[in-house]
Amino acid sequence: MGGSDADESVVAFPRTARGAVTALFHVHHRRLVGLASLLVDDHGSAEEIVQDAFESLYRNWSGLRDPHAAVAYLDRSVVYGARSWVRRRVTARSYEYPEAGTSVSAEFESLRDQQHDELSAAIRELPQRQREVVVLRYYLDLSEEQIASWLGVSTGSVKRHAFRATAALQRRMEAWA
Amino acid sequence: MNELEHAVVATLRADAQEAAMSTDTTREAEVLHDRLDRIDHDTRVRRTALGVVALAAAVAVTFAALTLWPRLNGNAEPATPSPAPTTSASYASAFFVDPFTATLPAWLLEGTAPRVYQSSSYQFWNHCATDADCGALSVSWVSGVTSASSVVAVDRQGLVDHLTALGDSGKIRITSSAPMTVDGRAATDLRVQTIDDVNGALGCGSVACQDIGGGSLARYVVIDMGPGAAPVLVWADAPTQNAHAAGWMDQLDIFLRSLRFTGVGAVEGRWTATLTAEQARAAVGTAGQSQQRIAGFGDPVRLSATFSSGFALVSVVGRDGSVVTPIANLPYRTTQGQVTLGDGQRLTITGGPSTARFVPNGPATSTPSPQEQLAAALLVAASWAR
Repeated sequence: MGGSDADESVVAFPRTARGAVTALFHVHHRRLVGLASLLVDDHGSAEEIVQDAFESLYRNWSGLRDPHAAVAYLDRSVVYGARSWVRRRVTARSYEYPEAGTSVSAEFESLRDQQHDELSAAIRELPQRQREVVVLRYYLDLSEEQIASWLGVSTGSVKRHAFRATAALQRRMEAWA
Repeated sequence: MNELEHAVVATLRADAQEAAMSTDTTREAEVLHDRLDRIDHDTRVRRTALGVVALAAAVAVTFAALTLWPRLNGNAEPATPSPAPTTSASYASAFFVDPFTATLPAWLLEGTAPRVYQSSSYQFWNHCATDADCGALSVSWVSGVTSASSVVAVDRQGLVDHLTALGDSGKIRITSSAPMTVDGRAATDLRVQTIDDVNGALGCGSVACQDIGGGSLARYVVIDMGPGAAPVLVWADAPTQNAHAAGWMDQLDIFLRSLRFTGVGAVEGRWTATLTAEQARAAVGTAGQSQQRIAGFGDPVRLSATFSSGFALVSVVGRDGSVVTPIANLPYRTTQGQVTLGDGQRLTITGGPSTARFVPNGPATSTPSPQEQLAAALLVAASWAR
């Protein structure tokens, strides 16, 4: 790939598209399911959106100018897939209810208090575009310019959505407190 | 970053982590493998088709040249229409709790490949390029139905009653209801016209309750899976603007006639076992959390493991057999003497119909929760009896 041997962040991609996509799957699958689940309301759809993203990557592998852009491609595909899912919700819509025995980390256990639940619910109840902006800003840590590029809107629009979202969350948390 | 923003970041990370931890990467890798296989297959078929088209074009030119002269002389024979293409494909489930084989109806295979979703409680094919040619077929394991804010367990009749009540309340229009037999099992066939979306009304699986999509023709077939077992719902639907919707609902018969449930496991039912506290501690190794929990189980440790429709509830029980402390609800599937737990760990069942040992036959392939690890370790450590 032309990268320095000392650059450990550079993944040596397998030669075949299938090998590369499979390798990326094992590294990024869980993270992408997490991202998708922040944008849609049921786990099964989040998993399917991630599957679609990897399938799309495989179909378009030869068109990728830089294989190392694949991770960004996957992130974008998941965001677009989630938006498409929200828009269509054709036939297989469902909602989750708590599942017994779901594994949770110690970090999550410590956050799993009422404030977390309240804030989590508040984020999920935001209008979809505001929710996307919140996730891209605070979870993927994208800049306003990057978010605007990803969502195909102006930077001013991103600012407005971010302002409205944080105001709504602030009101909700104050009411809860 | 202010306090709210810090809280938002922490909440999003925690929610994402929870979702990430609850996904079964092994299963998802298998699904991706199948999808990539399908793409490879389609690519090969497309290339072959292009070759065939080129060959056919050459043949057609030759044929036209050979037939042109007789036609011009008034000797042409009337053309005969070619038969409509009819394709179907056999399917064997990979993850569904009640393993099955069936023949998929042709409409599901026409045009672009349908999207497939598979899980232990839900098998779904979605043929939807546009609303005009949209259609779906699903096999769902139904553990219960929503009632107020809770989920209430149902058997076949209970699910039929629930759907009938939706009809009575005007949320769906049931145009016919008839008894039928599927794989030798009693079933009820409801033909339905949906009106509006009804969230969570089509029965709940292990983690989700399915919605009814509005504006569709649908067919709901509720199949009895035996006493105490959750019913299976086979359903198909297509938007009413799909001109083929009625025909596609009729073609569900192809699927239903061929449907065979192949793997009703011998492990189903309730098992009990007793271990000394020392044996239990030895089984779980040095994990501090598990050792602490075992200390609260008493000595001896009395256990029950209830295998039912894809979930094994491992619990500590009292002298009278009543559940004192549920440990974990382990998802599982069975194939020919093997139980595969949700984390990918395979256990071989030995013993007769009334006794069993579960012998590890492969490591876990994903990280189970501490509760699941504890339950699986106790499952393996004990000798079980019905």
